[in-house]
Amino acid sequence: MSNRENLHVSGIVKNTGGVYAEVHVSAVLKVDGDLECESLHSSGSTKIRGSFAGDSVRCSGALSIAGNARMDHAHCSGSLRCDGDVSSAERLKVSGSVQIGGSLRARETQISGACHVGGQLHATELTCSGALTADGDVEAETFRTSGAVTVNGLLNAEQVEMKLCSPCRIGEIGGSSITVLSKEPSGIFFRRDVPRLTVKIIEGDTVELEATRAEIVRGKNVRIGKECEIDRVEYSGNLEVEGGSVREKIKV
Amino acid sequence: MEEDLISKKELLQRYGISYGALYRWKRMGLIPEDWFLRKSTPTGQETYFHRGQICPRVELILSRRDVSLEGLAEELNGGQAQKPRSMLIISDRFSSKRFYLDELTAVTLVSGENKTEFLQLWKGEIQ
Repeated sequence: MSNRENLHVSGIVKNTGGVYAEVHVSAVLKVDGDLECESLHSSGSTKIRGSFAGDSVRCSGALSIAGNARMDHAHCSGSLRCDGDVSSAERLKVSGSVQIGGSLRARETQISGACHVGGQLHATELTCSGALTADGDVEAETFRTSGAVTVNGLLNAEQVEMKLCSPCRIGEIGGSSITVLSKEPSGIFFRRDVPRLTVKIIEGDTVELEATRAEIVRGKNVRIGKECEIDRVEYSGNLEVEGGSVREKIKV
Repeated sequence: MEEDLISKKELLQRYGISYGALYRWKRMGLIPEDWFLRKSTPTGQETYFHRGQICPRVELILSRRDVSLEGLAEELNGGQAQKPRSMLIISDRFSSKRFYLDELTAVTLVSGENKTEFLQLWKGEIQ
C-alpha cells in the first residue's frame, strides 16, 4: 500500500474513485464511486457518489457523501452531508454544519456549529455549544451541552449536564447523574421567559433540575429547582423542591 | 395468553439496582434494546420487560461482578463477535480491494466461453 498517489484538485475533476494517500480539493471534485485516502482536505466542493474512508478529514468547503463514511479525525468548519452512516474512531469536531442521514458513531464529539443526525447517535464524550438534532436515540458516557438540543428518542448517558441557553426538547432522559441548569439572566436585557427543557420522562440516580417541564421524574435523590414544572416525581431517597412546582410527589 | 411482564420499577426494587446501572447495561448492550416494552398506563408511560427474559439476565449480570461489563457484554453478544466476517481481498500492484463475502452477490471467472461461479462454492466451504 506504499505506492498510493496523491490527488490534488484545483480545477474541475471527475473520477471513479480509488485509493489515495492525500486528497486536496480546492476546486471541484466529483467521485463516481468509493474514495479511500489517508487524508482529505476539502476547501472546495467534493461530491462522492459512493462511500468514503479516511483517517483524517478537514472540510472547510462542501463535502457530500452518498454512502457511508469513516473519518477517524474529522474537523468540519464548512458543510458536510452524508446520507449513510458516519463513524469516527477518534475525534469529530463540527464548527460548521453537518447533516447525517444515517447513524453517527463517534468517540469524542464537539459541536459548536449545527449537527443533524437522522438515526442513532453513539458517542463516548459529547459536548455541544451549538445546535444538535437527533431523530433517533442518543447514547453517550458524558453528554455536556449549552446549546440547542433536540432528541426525539431516548438520551441515555452516564452523565448529563445541560446548561439551558436555548430551548431544548428531549423525548426521555435516562442515566446516572442528570443535571439541568437554567441560564443566569444576562442583566442588560431583562427577559422573563427563560429557555426551558421539555421532556417526557427523566430517570436517574441523582437528578437536579432547573427550568424543566417534565411529565415524570424518577430517581433516588431529586432536586427540583426554579422555573420547573413537573407533573409527578417518584423518588426513593431525598426530594428537595426549591422554587419549582411539583403536582404529585410519591415516595417509593 | 396473558404475558408475564415485570415493570421497570418493580425490577429495580426487586434486585436493588439503580436507574444509572440499568441504563449503563443498556448502553453496553447487556440488555438488548427490544427487551424494553413501552406501555401507556393511567399514571403515564411505563417500561415493561418479559419476566422470563429479564430476570435471568439481571441475575447473571449481578452474579458476574468478577468480570468487567465490557467483558460480559462481549460474552453475551459472542454469537456475532466470535464469528468473524469472511473477506475477499483482490490485489494488484496499485492497491487492494476488500469485499465482505456476505455482501457479494456473484464472483465469476470468465475465460472465453467458460464461466465459473465461485461464490456459492466458497460459501459452502466456509460454513
